[in-house]
Amino acid sequence: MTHRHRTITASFAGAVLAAAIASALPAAAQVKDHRQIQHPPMRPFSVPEPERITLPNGMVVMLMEDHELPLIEAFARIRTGTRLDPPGKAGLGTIFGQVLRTGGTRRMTGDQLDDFLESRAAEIETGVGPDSGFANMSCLSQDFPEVAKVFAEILREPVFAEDKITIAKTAVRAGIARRNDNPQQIVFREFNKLIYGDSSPYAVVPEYATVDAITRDDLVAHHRKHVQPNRIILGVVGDFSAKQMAATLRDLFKDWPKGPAAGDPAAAIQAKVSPGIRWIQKEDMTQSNIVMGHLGIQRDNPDFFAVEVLNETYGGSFAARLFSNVRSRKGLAYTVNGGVRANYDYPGTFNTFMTTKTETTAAGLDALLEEIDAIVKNPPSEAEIKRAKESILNSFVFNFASRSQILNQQITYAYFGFPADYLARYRENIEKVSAADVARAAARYVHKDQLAILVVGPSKGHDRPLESFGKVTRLDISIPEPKAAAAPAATKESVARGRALLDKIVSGLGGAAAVDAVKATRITSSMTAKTPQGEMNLKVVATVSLPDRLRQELDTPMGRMVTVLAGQDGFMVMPGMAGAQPLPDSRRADMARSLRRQALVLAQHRADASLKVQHAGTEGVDGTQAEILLAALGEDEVRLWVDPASGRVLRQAYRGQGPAGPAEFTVRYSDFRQVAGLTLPHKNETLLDGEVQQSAVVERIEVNPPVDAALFAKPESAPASGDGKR
Amino acid sequence: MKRHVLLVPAALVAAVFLLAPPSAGAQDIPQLEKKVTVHTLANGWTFIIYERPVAPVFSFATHVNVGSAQEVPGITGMAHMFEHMAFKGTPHIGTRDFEKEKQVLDKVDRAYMAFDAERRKPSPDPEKVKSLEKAWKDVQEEADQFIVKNEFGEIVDREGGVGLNAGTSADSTVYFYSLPSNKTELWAYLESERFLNPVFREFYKERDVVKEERRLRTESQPLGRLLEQFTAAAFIAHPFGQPVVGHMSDLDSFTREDAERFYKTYYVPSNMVTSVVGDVKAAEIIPVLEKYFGRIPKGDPPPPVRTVEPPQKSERMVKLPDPSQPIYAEGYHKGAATHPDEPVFDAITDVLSNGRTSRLYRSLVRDKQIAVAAQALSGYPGDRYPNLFILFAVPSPGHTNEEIRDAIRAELERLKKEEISDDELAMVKTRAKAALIRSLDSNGGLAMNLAEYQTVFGDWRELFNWVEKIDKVTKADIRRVANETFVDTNRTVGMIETQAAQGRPADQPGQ
Repeated sequence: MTHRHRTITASFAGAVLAAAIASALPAAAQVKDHRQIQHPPMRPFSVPEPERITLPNGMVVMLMEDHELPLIEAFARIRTGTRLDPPGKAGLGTIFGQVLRTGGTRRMTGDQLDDFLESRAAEIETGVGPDSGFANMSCLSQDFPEVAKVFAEILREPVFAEDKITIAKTAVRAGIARRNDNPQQIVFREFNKLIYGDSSPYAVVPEYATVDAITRDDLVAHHRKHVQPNRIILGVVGDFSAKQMAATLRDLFKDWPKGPAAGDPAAAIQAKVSPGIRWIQKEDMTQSNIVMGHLGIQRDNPDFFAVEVLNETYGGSFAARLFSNVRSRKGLAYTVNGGVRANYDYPGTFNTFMTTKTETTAAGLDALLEEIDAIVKNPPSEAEIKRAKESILNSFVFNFASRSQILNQQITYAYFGFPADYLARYRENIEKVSAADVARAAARYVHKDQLAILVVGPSKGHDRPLESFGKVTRLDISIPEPKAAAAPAATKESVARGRALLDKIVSGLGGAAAVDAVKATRITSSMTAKTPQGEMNLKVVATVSLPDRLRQELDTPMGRMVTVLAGQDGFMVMPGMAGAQPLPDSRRADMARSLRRQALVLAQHRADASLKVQHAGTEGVDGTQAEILLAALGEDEVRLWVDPASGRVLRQAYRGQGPAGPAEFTVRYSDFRQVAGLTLPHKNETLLDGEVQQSAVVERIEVNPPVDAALFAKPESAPASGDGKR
Repeated sequence: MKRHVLLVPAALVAAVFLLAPPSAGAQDIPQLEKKVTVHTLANGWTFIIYERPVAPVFSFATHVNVGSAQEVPGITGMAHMFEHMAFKGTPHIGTRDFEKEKQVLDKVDRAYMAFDAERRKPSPDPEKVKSLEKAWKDVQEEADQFIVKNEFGEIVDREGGVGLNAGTSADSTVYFYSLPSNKTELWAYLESERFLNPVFREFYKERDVVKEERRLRTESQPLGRLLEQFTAAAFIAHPFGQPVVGHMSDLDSFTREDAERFYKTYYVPSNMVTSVVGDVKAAEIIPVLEKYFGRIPKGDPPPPVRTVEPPQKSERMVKLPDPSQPIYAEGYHKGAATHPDEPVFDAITDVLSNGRTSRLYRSLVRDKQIAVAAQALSGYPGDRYPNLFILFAVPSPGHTNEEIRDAIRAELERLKKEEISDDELAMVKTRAKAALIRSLDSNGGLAMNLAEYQTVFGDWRELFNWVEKIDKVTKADIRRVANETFVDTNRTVGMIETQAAQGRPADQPGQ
């Protein structure tokens, strides 16, 4: 078998036709201008092409010899993708992609695999991206036979061991807990949702609940369905003879039968972007991250080549408009880029992105909108087009800088059904692009009136309110907490016993009349809390005005901190900071939940259809055999330990957001005393994952105190700029 | 040395592997020299040329022996700032009329000085500050009309250059890109021109760009915030404690004149090494290098960094309260890359954190499941001066920095008390050799390594010798170095402590 070589010298030289003069250096002549320098023609260079074989079981194999180094690399592209994750199981493809390799095979456990590979400095890694999966291998050529055997076993006989699934799930959960830490991760994740739609497979991300829902059976089924020889393209490059390698691979995969015919559901895009400006509050930044755009194109679009040239002039290089104008001329950004992006078999996005200091957020938005407007109204000039085309054509040779790069391109084209000479034709197609084509592409694929605009950053200090760009919608990116361990299925009996237990709570509190008379409370307590700075003693005044208003005042060593929930709104006043800040969505939701799990509030809702209760057994609490009530007002589950004799709630537990991700909170209540006909605890301790975080001693409880509405109104002095909720 | 993958030509490496035991060493250097040519110009600029005619392209790296370690308070961030200015052109690149532009640039400086003098007065007149600032901005706009925007980058781009960029670290500045190999002369012109006579046009606008870079990387990222605090705590005297990007107040203050002074001090040919790797022939390219890079005057050798970090006397601790999830790091002082124990630290790094068989992975991620990633790193923040060996980990949800600390310490104690196994030591050596082979397949990576080793050790051959040095590391070496290094008083700890959601304490309205 011989390699076919395509000679491309002549066409490469095309761009430098006039300059085909040898570079004998005129030593005396001092070059003052780069245009004086003439380039010799490029030396003849032929692009090697891989040998293609299709095995009887349908596996497509591409082989490419490369004898420079004693290495062999293999790249398997597998027809799958995270876009196939079933609804409710987002994260399946990601976890599958990891455990395919880490979970071991029938012959070796994952740990044995690690030892085997690493002692040979060999690598096998697998993974799944949006539109394909991969299994890659690299080893010294001397180790190829035994490493290839393992590689084949990973593809054919993975066992998805439970302990490795647990590790993979932990990693995904950590990713969820940390996904709002990095601004750029937020901005592109949320932008994708705006463009492709919240539930689009190209935008959806794993949640605790979807990860919890994934089982080993799902991974086994995914493997059976998708990892089949007829769904794999395998490329091998390195120090081998293609003829021998073909024989080795035939042998390795000969008894792997063809799988069922492909029947992948098309991953739909719900492309109904509603234009407008969205804002995500993130205070631990000194910049705003700004992205704007709409749906882009697919690579098989005939205008793709004009778009490539357009992108080069718009955001693709140092000399492009975005870099020159927004960065160099205006000094507004370090990072600024953009373009009409194309994916192989689904649309990319048109996007334009920058980061700029909070104080120039509006100036940044203006600058990007100006460039988007200009690229259509004042499309790239002949000079810009010439520069862009030269840049693409002159750097074309870098597509062939290494053999593994050439092989990977061919695998990609084959996977998406593009012709093998796609790259060769790419060159010709770029050459043909005219200024008129680019102008038309800009007008067709860039729409200033359809932009979804997203800003992530601090709420204060903007040069102009975001509202000056249109109605601002604030996005809530708080991380949905995992559901508590699934409650036992409710039975008629457990519900009836739950109702009875709730009635005991009502009488324990002081009876229906006393409970229903409560419209407001004010509790003054002194509290000891664990903080990163050490133990802190605080005075706390909490005023509740039912059903949905709560004001907390904390006197801290730094000064008074006020947090207010007022229905759908909320704000904070922090010590040492002027004015009020909007309450982060996650915190607002947290406060609302803290109201809805109070025994008094549950008792008031006893006849409410949205309150679900059931009895969940008994458990000893400090010597009392308590009965457990599972209650959920709406979505928020809470577990109450009730003394059946007195109806007092001795303890409650709930899942909440702890400092390091979701955690189990427990509150213990004691020192019950009478206040205005109610029996209420005057001591409580909150435990996080079993450790006491804070303890409070109640100094005073007022029932139905006069409540001034002003307590829940945002102070007037709050600067208006940037609060997207207005 | 961290990061630096080792290298050796293909044929030689193959031989190393076929002929066990792998003791090929110094005797093979002459073979290596056939592919490598070193050429030093009369002005002191050293070139390393590696012929690798795989495709008609080449890559280069210009390594300047300067980084933030050469800065003093007031000009922190200047090495990085100059790196940005090296893209702004020359009297021949980036201008429409340099004679006129030059005069306006002087006006920009004077206007800035006037504005700066006023704003720094004990009680500045706000109106005056405002009008002087406007005058300064206006004259920048005047200068703007002479500028051909980003012409340096545009030329590289248009001629088919890829990967045009540069990077600044605590102890080095590197410039790099790749071009088709018929354009070596154009490259020699551009690369010499940018250092022969850089024009600091758009200086104050670029300062704003750099401030945005600081906001992006350091201020708006949890890890950036932690590392700045951690690094500052670890060094009390040596400039390695300063942020590479610079303090905001310095970025807001240093001048074009400061940049000129910095450039003249450190950008002298004897302080620079350029490696060229790819489809080039030494005999053909050397006359071109002479012609273009020979234009640059010799200059005085730069002053050394005088300050030496004194021995640490007590453990240091940085706890950063932050809204983000926890991160744990600890660092121990160690010697420079040229210290004889450097290969031992490479071996320790490998045993602790290379791959899924490594000790930190198996303990923290696989068995205890308290972390989702754990890493050791030798040579932070640079390696030309005594530096840190650092360990860091990302706790799993629900797990704490304290658990991570205890698990990391247990692994360090193990290194101190017990010798590593034969299998582990063999794996270190096998992987060092394989890493070296893998590093040989990229022009860009090779160029970077050659220039770096030449700069740090004064001899690119040290790349090759390194394999042998790793091969000579013994179990006793590892135990000795662990005992010398991993002691309480030599340690700096840094961690992000997630701030509990504000107001959490007063959760209890009714009960």
